Amino acid sequence: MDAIRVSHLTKEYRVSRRREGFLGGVRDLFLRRRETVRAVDDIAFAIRSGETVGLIGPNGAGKSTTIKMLTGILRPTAGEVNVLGLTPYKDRRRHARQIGVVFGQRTQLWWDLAVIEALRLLARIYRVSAEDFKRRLELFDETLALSDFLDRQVRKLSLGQRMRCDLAASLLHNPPLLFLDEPTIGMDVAVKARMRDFIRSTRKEFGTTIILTTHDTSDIEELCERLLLIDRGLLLFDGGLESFKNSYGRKRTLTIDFERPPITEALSEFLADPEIRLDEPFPGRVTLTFDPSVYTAHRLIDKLDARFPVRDFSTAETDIESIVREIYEGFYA
Amino acid sequence: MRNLGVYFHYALIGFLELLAYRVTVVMLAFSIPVILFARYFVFAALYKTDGQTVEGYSLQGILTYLAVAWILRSFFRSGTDRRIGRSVREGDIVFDLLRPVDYHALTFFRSFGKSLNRFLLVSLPMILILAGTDLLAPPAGFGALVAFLFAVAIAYVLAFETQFFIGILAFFTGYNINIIWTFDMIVQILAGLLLPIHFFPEAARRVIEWMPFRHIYYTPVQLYMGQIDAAHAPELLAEACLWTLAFGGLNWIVYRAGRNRLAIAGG
Repeated sequence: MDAIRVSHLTKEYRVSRRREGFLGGVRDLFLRRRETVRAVDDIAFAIRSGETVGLIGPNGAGKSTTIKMLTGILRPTAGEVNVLGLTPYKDRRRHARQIGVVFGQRTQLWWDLAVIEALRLLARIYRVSAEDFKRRLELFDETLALSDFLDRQVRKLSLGQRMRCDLAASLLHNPPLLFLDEPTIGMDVAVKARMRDFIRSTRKEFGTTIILTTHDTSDIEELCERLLLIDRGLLLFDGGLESFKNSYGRKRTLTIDFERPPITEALSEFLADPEIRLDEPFPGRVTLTFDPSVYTAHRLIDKLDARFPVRDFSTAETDIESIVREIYEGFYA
Repeated sequence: MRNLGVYFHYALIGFLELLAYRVTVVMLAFSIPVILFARYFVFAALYKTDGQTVEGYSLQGILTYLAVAWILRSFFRSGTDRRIGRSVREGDIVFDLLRPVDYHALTFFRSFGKSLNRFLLVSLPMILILAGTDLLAPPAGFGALVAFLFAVAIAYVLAFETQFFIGILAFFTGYNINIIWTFDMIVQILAGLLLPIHFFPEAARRVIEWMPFRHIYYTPVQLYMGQIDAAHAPELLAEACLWTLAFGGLNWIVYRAGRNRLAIAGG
């Protein structure tokens, strides 16, 4: 069953362009130049119940806008959205009961209240019974370790503590659908690991459908089965993690430490193949990114060692991060 | 209303939120006596040079008028307009919109919690302090007091609706403190907070009497002082009620139109 079905989804914003300088500012007072920006441009996808889908794309790609339309906050300019049988924008209040949302850059808790106070209010809003509330709290405490700061004011929490509370708040009413908009932003590795464990156990236990946007590709590798790549409002890729790697060129990297620092230019001249990408993270170490169907690591080492003595080397398959980086750089170019 | 418990909790949150800032409360408690004190000197000077009554108000009458009006204001204004504006600018409005509750009602109850807090911490002490002085005469009678309390209840909702309206303008204009100030100033004049509407030129008074705002301060205070006979009160209060409903309806429409235009980019 599809949890989310989206077709021809489009969102346009009207933005005014400001002129430069003092005179420009004065002219803006009387005559604003307005233009329409398409944040999301005619995208379509479907997400099955129980899937975990990562939504990626560079800054300003339209990820957040898409999430805000799926959650019913923003009204699409055009197109259809169906989430668990409801149209989010039209049935905002009913829809709100079936989703949980975390925006990593803000908090849904009340700054001036103690965490427990905020959670209690949310329990009231979502009609969570006292018994369920207690049980949920215990469950959250197991993986998120909330009990140490439940009685503290939200504004006095560290970022990591606050995000854990936010995650708990979004799942208090056990929604079938969870939206996580950059949930691990600014988290240290320990908190990240804890949050990922929690997300995994929630999914396993309750079959929660999860939509996740992130700039941290390790979130995606650890949590998602499927990827949607958005840029400039367009949906550029929709498919599994493996097919993502394949369709954007499965490459290998070879990291070599040389006896004496070689000059990258000399190396690239020697290899004489523009298809091999050379990076020099620090003097003496060079990484080569190459197509495994053309070269083998063994052959490259052999060839190089004859001219530039090799001390040590390692090979790896390119991770999502470098694929994504390459795609983004392509966009910016 | 099944959700009443939920909205009650929003009121509690509003109450507690304000409690977190003690300095704000203390400063508020100070600012209103300062305003009243300043008015006292202006009017004392005015009355010394020019007879004993102006437009039917004695010096003590006008001071009582202003004291009652400003005490009402001390808990009528809960900062709802600014709060809505800020939450649109900063995007935190997403969390209000993510809840399965009505935004208009949620805002009202949160605002009500704040007002209750202010009433207890600012207005009530002020009433107790001023009650023994020339600045605040007691109500004209028991009937006047009852009519006054009814008028205050209606005026509170009307004052909220005006603040809500100014707040949701942010959907169209963005957060603009100047718009908020300007509107607040206009409402202060039209509602009779700065001066009794009685003092205005005839032509202006006719126009103002066709507007809803005078029911925020002018009507309750007049009832308090017995300037309107309590027998006429039901008629006047019915009119205030209708205006409040009309304003609420306008807000319902404007809010829906505004949400369609809502743009929250980033984050």
